[in-house]
Amino acid sequence: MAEKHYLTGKEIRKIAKANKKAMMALEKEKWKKKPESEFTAQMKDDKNILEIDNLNTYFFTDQGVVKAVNGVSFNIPLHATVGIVGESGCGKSVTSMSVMRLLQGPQGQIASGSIRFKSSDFKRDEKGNPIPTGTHNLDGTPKYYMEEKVYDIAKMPMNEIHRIRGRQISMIFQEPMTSLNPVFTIGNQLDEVTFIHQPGATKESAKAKSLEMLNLVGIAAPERVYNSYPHELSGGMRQRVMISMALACNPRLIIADEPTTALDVTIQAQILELLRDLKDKMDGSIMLITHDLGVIAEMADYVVVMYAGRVIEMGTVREIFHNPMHPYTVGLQKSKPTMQSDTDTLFNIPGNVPNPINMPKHCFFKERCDKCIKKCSGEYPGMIKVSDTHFVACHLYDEEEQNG
Amino acid sequence: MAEKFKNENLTNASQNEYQAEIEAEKAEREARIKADMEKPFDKDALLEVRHLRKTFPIQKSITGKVLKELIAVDDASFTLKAGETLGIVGESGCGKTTMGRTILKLHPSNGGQIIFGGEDITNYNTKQMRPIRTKMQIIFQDPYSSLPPRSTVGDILSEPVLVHNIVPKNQVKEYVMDLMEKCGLRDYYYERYPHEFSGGQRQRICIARALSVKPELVICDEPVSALDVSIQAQIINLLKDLQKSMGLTYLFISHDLSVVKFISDKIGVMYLGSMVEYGAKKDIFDNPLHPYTRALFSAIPNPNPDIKMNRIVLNGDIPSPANQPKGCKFHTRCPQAMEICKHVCPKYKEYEPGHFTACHLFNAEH
Amino acid sequence: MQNNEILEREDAMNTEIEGQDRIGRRCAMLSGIHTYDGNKKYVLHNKGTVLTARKEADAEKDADVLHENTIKLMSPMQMVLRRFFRSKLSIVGLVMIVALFLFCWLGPVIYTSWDSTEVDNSGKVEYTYTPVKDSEGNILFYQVVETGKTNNFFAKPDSSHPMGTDKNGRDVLARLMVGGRISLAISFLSVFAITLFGVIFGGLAGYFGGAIDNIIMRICDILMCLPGFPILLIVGTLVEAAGIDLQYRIYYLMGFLTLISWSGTARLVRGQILSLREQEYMVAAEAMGYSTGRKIFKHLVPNVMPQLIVQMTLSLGSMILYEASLSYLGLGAPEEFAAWGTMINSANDVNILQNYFNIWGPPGICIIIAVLGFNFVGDGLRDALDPKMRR
Repeated sequence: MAEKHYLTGKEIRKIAKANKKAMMALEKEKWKKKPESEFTAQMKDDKNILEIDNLNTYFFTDQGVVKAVNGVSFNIPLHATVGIVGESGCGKSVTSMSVMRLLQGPQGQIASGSIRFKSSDFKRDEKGNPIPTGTHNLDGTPKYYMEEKVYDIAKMPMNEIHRIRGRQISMIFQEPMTSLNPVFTIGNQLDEVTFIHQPGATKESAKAKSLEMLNLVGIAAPERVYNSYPHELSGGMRQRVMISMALACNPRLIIADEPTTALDVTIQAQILELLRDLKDKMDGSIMLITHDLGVIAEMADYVVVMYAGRVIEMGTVREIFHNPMHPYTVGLQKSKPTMQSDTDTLFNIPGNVPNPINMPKHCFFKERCDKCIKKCSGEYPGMIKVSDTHFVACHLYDEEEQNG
Repeated sequence: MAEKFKNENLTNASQNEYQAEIEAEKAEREARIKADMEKPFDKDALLEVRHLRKTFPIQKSITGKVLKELIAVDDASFTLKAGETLGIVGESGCGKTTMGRTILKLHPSNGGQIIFGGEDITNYNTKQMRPIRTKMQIIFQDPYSSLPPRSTVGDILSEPVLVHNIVPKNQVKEYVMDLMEKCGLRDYYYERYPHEFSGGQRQRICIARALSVKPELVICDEPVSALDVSIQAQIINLLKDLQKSMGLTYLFISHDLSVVKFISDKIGVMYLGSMVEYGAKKDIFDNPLHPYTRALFSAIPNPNPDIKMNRIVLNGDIPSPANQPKGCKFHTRCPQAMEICKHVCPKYKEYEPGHFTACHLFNAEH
Repeated sequence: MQNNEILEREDAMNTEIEGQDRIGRRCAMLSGIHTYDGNKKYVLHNKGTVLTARKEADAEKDADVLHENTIKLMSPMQMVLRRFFRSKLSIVGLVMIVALFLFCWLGPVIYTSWDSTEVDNSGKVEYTYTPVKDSEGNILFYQVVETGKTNNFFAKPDSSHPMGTDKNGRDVLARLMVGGRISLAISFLSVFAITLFGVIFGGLAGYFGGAIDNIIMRICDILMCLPGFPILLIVGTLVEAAGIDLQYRIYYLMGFLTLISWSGTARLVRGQILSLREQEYMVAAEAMGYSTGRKIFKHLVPNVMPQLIVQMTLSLGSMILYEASLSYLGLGAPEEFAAWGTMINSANDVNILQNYFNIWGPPGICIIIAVLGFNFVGDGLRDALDPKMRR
């Protein structure tokens, strides 16, 4: 009894062999040089800035393949905030890492799917240098011709990824304590961003830009912060600096991965206020990843609910909060104690998130679901359209169930 | 340079204005502490904490004299009856965790009294504490670092039972199995190692370990903040059920007001080591007095996209506990700060029966 | 229970029951094999009766039990092994060490033709007859000169001596095998002694802190200042002056080396314990009111073990080098009780260094293999055991 849930040596070797083969192939593909035509694509809807289509991201662990992202598709429209909500291990962070191509290789790999991103990059000559227009910006840096292109990030080779990463998609991390380099001043790190992504930037223009950014995120004494080291700042301040860093290149998409989770409630309120403020000011979209439904309700326009590596429900924020369809979304909302509720026992979803290795064929939520029907033991439910923007993956809303 | 000098003069001048009040407050406080310490113990209370103070030295001279200290807990008092739950709310660095551990005597205290079950345990040594250890237990925030990685669940749970002779040796396994069932753990987990479990299951193991010695008081130090929402609800319900079936008393420490509201009978709000407001749950939630409590309430994101709250957003950061502001500790961030707040420490007063607060806004009314 | 066993049984039952869904059946089966009934006893059911008795609803309730049980994990030992064997170098190191141990301990059992101290006296005695003549050319007598050798020294490798013989006619292969025993045994002994001292002092310093910590750490500082070799040379002379049998001199020296080199291990243990003491499970142990001894030996030391094992493996290599260096300097065992270092010592003679690689080469190679092997294994173990290195 005691040992039976452990793998045998033979199985371990088998897994290791299969992993090695799959990992090598994907890793080789990742670094292969390709002509640009192979990773350019066409957007399905021109209003979107990012389209994720049937994305599969796997981790090849010693105990088996973890399908961390398992056929995820959703879109991020221009100038919108899309919140991705789910519990730990649901694949929300891995999705963002896949978009940034920051997965820890060789274990983590995008196995298939596409991530189409509408980029606005410098127009380049044959040598790859940007072509200047001859005119200048206000701060004296040269202007360049821009062009709009759609790249498939999932197929992009790693040596081309710098065109997108940092400049057009930037990221705000959860841990403001560890995501700044402790041996450089804030100014140093902020200027660096400008130097890397803005051709022709001078020391003065970079500093001016950095100070402007610090001002933008509501730092009262930008000069002082510019010259200080990260350890001299509090958590809230550091998160502000991280946000200013992410904004420095006017990105088209900001990925905020749990930006307020590590902060205190009162500081969280400040940062949320700031983000809401910036949302209107900036010219781009936000992908907000969080486990806190309250944060989502305040910030997001669209919500994607994920569970065990799959999207189970998505829609506008009102649809999700006022008319949740999937039993998991309903349970999640009911199980969070709120300041308004006045019940004696909390609603809870029984059981635990299933182990990500060897997922069953049927709906992953079946074991914990209180509305389980016979059909749930069958195939994994497909996405069912409720309204133009609202989709749910649950057998309860299958057409025949509705009719019968 | 000249400007700086001028500024100093200015502050000195305004300080003089309040000097009398500062001293009066100090004398009043000392007298009150002295009087409270001599009061007889509350017979109904399981735990009574009077003016608890805990400091950590951060700078010492060569001779070992403390030059600078960090005030982690400053003058915290409350009483807790058997079967009740007291929720302690506060942000990081407010001393709530230190207070829990000081009550358990994991740190020595630097002042005040801890009275547990009618015994003054403030100055007990390790040997005297040993029988009391079984009566008060603790559950930690991080279910990953609070279980020894190289022991099986069975070992973890039976060790305290064996050490304290809770049941005869031949019944230990049965007792542990029974306990596991109560905490929602399956019997075959007995032989497994902690790394095989998810956070929620680990937290259940921690709860089972704490309950294995049949305690009366359990200090829950942020037991759900590291867990997912759906698992949080499970653990909170489990704690509530166990409280009912085993007659436990909780000191529930959390930064999450909504969780505290759900589980507590009484609530204490802490800021920078001091209790700023304390009272019954109903009083605190229906009629929050202290501006900090009000700001905390409004800072919680509301999971309803249509309600746009009028939020009180506090400016600035929490000051470092090693370098606390003078006067009211909250005055640097308080939206309603007055001149007096910068100099004089507000009195901790009973505003209505059982509802205490320390704020100058309410001093005048009494 | 093995997974394929479940599958087999399931297949067998496919024919028995129809209509019941797949999951429900698997579930019922699993719970049938092992259930926990009201009387708090483990009951092993007969699968047939269980299946008919259990209702589908019950089965559904236990579905997550089933899901948990279909997932197989790795035991802690398996994880360590998997990580260890992932690196090719650690496998090479392991092979090297195992081969050396077999060579040294099993070798003399198989290779019995020569004992390590036995002198080969089989040398042929040859005589050269030189006639001594007088002035007229008459042979007066023959001068007989012994030109062969009585003991077979400096023999080239051949069938009777696979690695030849040394200057005293002792078999190099036999000496190599037995010498390895001495070298390895001495290093193991001293590493264990160092670890023991290190754990005791480091543990005390880390757990109690304060004045005890201060005293022990200052002693460590002083020990770290001591120059190892000069002191060992002096101690070697003292041991000789004290009239102790030279055969045991190397043990005295290594013992002394142990006394002055536990500070590294003590620092490691102290550091580990300081960080472990802050872990919440140690606070929990404190809150449980466990005794100090239990806290140190049941909760702290087992968690320091991985780092200790790594440290021990890595220091084995350096101990072998120490032993070899001491022996090379002539402070080791006398010649007849060869250790690897003593054998290399013979290369002091220019003649041997130039012409007889078979005498000093093999022990040198053995030392290289041992040190490299232990270092490879140590590195592999560190990757496997240290959770911070976990990938």
